[in-house]
Amino acid sequence: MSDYALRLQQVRVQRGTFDLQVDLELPEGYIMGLVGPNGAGKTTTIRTILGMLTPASGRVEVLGRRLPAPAILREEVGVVLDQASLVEQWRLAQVEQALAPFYSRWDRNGYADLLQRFGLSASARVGELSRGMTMKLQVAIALSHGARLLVLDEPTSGLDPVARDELTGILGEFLISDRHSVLFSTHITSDLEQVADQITFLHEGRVWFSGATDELRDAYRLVRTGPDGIDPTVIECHGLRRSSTTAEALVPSAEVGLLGSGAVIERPSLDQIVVHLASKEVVA
Amino acid sequence: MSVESLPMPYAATRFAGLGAALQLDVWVLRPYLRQLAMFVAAMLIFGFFTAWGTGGLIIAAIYASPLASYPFAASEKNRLETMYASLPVERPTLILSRYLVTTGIWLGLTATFAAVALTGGMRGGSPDPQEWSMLLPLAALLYAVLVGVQLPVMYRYGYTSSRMFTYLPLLLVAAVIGFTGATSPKLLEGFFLGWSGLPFWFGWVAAVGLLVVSYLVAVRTARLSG
Repeated sequence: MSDYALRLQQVRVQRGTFDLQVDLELPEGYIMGLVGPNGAGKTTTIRTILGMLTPASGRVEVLGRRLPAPAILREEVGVVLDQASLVEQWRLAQVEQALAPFYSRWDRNGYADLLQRFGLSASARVGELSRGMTMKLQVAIALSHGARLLVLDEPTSGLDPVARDELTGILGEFLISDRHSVLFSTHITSDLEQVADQITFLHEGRVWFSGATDELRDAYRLVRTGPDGIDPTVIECHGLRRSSTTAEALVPSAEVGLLGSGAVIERPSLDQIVVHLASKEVVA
Repeated sequence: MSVESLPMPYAATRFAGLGAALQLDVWVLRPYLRQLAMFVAAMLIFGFFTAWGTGGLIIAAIYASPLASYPFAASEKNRLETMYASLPVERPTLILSRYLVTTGIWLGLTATFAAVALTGGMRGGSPDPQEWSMLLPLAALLYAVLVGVQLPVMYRYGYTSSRMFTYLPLLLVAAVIGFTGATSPKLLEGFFLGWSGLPFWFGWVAAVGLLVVSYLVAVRTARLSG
């Protein structure tokens, strides 16, 4: 049996003029952050994993099953979106009545416990919930049907820092079982600093990096020098920003030695890596 | 339990979720029941006092057509496409459920209209069994034509893009009957005479056949819609 929760090999999806080509591997028991600017292909990747889009070529495996797979596979996949895909007038108790019959392992007590723990009233309507509460409701649904893989598409957009921190805690608890895995798409990369073991960085429909988060952070250094301290013709640099007094760029760690003295060199945050890799040279 | 060891083979799971899908469609429609009930009640009251008679059967068939679009409207309004895609049930099962729920609504409407029509008929004399046996299968066929065209189109293009198009069959039927009635009334009479000569089951079998073909087309158009 495959040890991967997700495996996309040479997958190509075409939607109008947008062309996505993606390779990624998420081992079981890990959280992968799917990052990149808006329009990079994160949602297209997730829709492909959910079977909503059919790739023109390549191989998609979810929990060891190649897609298209029997629908019963989806018993093991939980989906959390930035907006709930549920009827707004339903009360949370009715959400259970509508969805539970589809799942052979729906845990009624577990659902009630999770609602209580997340501060959600069973008599509240879906349309009355805040974004943070909607996200918690979707997590409660996913955990109640025993999902082994959670797929989250921009779950933190529009959430305040407290709610985002709560989500991080929930995901940490979900991963206590080492067979649980999470794919977490976001453009707020700071959400991933604490939790993501793996990162796939998408840009304009292509994978720029896919691997361990530490590997990505070790692969680059954020460099600040005087205005002429970084010469793009000599060293590879990304997102070079120049002003009259300073220059800043992301530089491959292997090339840091080519910089002159006086450069300030830091280990970049994920946010800084994404911003610099996705941006072009800026001269102020 | 791993996915590899899930007990049911693919073929066995194909329609396993039908019961759940039927319940879900009812839940999706539930928030709209009050406005549906008000509309139906208004029509029934109107029908009772104007003594539609068997005409109520045709009206029920026509009215079932816009009702069939309600789940699509609710799906678009609440962005349910991702929910449907993430449920552990095959798409053809969800589509079959939509056909069954829609047909159930039509049968309920027909039974209600029939009850009102019979009550109205009894007030003005005894109902004509021959007229009933002719119009009931004709109403079934009309329902099958209207909904049979509407659902595959809605699965392909969604509610917003196709809601006007779905009234086209109704307009065509009305135009053909109106035009024929005005220009060649004998042709229309001939049709009804010919229809009344057919066995009672013919209209029902034709309606079921049309709906089966429509379902198969809808499964294909839903796949095309991505």
